[in-house]
Amino acid sequence: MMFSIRLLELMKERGLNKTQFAEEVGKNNSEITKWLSGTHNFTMDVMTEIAAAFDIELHQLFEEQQSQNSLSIWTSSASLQLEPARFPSPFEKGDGTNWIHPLSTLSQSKTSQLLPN
Amino acid sequence: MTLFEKFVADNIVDFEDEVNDVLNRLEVMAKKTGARDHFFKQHEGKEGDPVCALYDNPDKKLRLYCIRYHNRTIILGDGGHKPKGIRSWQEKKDLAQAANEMIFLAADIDRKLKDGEIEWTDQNTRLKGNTNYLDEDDDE
Repeated sequence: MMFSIRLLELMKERGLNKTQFAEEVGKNNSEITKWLSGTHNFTMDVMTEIAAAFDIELHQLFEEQQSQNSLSIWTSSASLQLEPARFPSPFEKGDGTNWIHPLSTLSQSKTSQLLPN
Repeated sequence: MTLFEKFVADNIVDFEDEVNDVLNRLEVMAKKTGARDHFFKQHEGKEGDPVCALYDNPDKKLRLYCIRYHNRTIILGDGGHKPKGIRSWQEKKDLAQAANEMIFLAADIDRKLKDGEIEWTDQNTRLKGNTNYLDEDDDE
């Protein structure tokens, strides 16, 4: 994920949009989208190509980025009659608080209205 | 149970790696990177709304629908398995429900922001005001 951020930063520094960068590295736009998604596993060969495209040394691809301010994550509760979760919430902090905030409740009738015909 | 916890509970058995990948990625976003727009597949909802899907590994199989308000605030919803033969969420009932929940929620938040029922606070990371989504006939 950090590498994708660095990649986007380098593209912006050089004023390259996805299409232009894709042309630089001989890929199509969808491949660049994958690279930027934060899910792609880059090989050394690809990273070397990217460094060459930006005319930088390989190690310069890994310069540390400044952290963003903290992220606030929310999730809505569903008031459906569900079994209790089989697994503990992954967002419970050790002090009993939860770093995902419950947004509140979608009523069952509203939820049923959302089902496709 | 929240929608996101339902997503985890429904998929952790059959798609453990993918669920763990999602959790790890959310943690990295929370602690380091923020919710960068290129981490999400945009335009999953109605035109102009902030509904998106968290990208999973292209070879993997899950979709998680979210509402993204800039880099600092996201709302997680439900999602599910997206088989290879499916091109869009409209083609699969559970994905359609998950996406529509987020579309409904995003529209409601937008309406309430415009009507002044809710407002952003804490540097646009919290919604303050009427965040309930009850039928008018429901007893509180």
